[in-house]
Amino acid sequence: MSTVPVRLEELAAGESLAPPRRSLLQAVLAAGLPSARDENWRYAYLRALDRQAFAPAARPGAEAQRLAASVLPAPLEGHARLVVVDGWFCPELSNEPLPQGVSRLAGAALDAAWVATAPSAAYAPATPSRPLAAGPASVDLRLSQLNAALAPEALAIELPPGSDAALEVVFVATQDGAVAASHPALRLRLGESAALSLVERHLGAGDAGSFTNADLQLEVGRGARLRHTRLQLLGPRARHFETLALRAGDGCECEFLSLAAGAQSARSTALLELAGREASLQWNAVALGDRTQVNDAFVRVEHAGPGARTRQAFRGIAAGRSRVAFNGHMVVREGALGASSDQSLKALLAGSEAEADVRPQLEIYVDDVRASHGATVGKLDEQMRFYLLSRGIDRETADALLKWAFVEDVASRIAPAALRHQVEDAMATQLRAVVDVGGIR
Amino acid sequence: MSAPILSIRDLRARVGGRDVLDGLSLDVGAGEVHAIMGPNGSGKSTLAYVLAGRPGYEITAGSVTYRGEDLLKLEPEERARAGLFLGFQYPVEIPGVNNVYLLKAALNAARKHQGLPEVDAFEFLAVVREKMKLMQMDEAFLSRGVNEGFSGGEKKRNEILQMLVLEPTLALLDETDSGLDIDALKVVSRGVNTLRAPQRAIVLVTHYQRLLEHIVPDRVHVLARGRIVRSGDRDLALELERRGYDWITGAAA
Repeated sequence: MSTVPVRLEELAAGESLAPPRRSLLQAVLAAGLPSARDENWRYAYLRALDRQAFAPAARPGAEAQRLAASVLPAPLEGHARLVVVDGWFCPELSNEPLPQGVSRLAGAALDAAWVATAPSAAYAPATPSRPLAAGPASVDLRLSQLNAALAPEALAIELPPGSDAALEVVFVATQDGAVAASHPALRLRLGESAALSLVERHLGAGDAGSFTNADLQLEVGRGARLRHTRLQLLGPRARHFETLALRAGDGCECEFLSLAAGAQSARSTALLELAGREASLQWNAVALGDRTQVNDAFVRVEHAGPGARTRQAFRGIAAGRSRVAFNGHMVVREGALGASSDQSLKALLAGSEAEADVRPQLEIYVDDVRASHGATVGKLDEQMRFYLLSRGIDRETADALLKWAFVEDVASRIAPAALRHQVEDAMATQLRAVVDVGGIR
Repeated sequence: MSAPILSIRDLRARVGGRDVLDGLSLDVGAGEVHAIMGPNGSGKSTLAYVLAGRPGYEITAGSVTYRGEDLLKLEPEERARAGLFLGFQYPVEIPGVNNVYLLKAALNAARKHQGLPEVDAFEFLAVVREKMKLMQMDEAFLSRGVNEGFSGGEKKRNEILQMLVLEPTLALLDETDSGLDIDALKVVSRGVNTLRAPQRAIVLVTHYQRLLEHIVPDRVHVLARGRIVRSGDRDLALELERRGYDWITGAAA
């Protein structure tokens, strides 16, 4: 196996990619990868893209599967598990038989899912029934395009109207990012009035610094309910990029809860469109940074349908020399009469060399709208700390407790309890809480 | 008299560039309850905070000896583990940190300091329930965040509950009576009185005599301009109630 990283330019010029993918990659390169000059990418760690081997990792062999199996968490009750290793669906590690509506897309079928003949609007992320623009698009979609050009296959989930399902999708990265990249792709279509609990995990196996560029496209039909829990707990050397696109129909309810605590650097892009009437979205996110980690998230919500509603809460803690950033951009279109948008973005600076940036943005094109936002960056409260010390609690525990308290109002919403407990354990580890988490519960 | 639990000598402290304690001396013996009274701004709360080790107070002179040890050398958490308890005038709310968790962690920190094993979970809950009954607190408080959404009176009861569970050697209660109605005052006083013991000392910082009808002090001190200007028995408190502070603080000028 070659250890010389294959660069994007070589992939675009070579014969390894099918022609439509090659031309997409050429278009991406012509437009350029995101840079710090791009408004919504200022806080991301983009040097992770330099000198990166983008060549898709090979289909996982026995060793990669063994590594992946070793990091899988305990099964989550009621949830069928689907495991994707280095971008490849792994039936050996997944639930058998495959749950209804789950399949893998590859080859021409996959290409057909994204190749569009005419470029669409700059901000039209692809969804399962709306192919990706092959032409010019916002730079915020560039990594999604990159995934489309390079993903070996995609996991497709198609839930019929009225169905009810619970799925856990575990993405594991096992390869050294200096050699090969993981390009996982997920396409989800939730039929009318269907309900889905989706748990998405990103985990690393082995101590190599992996590179991931994940792409998730979700389409939630009329009156459907989606509860999507996202856990990014990659290893300390991982580089992670992800794009999530959502299109939500009439009266559907989408609730997202995410914890991002892993990876050396992580950038999460979410492009959410409330297209239908009275579609509702809750976006709850926790990001924990420590050491020299960089964790950046950009969430753009487009309220297009009348009565579209969003509640967004972000809680970030930047400890050590880490950087934690959250940019929440709310757009309310002309047609979104009676829309509402509420943002509560809070970050805690817990290290003298740490950096935290929270940025609410509102872009409103209609009069009849209710919009509120709050954004704060603060330090640990000295009065609270003294109160805990005065009760004999040591400093390290007092600080860990206060950090815990800071994110707990978001984390406490995670369900089911078994998953919440897993998340709380992960948070306690990250917060270096020398505390008995069970006691906090 | 045996060696006092607390011995303060000529203590001077500054906060925000202002001398707030100006040569304060006080001895509190085992088994005693002392009341420190005085007008607003006389330095009562500063004394409580200085003893508990709150940051931001600069000790410029004097000494504080607690059970033969230099108290001022200890960090706030070490003072607490060594048996000093401060009941706050305005207990802070800490949403997200569970009340019962704090109680247990505080108790275990003190036990560890004494070389004792961690408290048994069931025994602990039994003790806490019993003390809550005494303080007429609903058990639902246990699972809530520390002081989260508590009324003023509930916060004060919670302070006393913590004190009852931790069984300190020296309890400093900073205006525990403020903001309490008469029923709550009785409950809080009963809690404090159950803690009176030969090996323990209690210092009540208060503005009003009415608390002392329920918790009868052995000694009453009047604090003015950062020092104790008069000491006496409980009759002094009654006299203050009748005559106000001016006749003493004026005399001290």
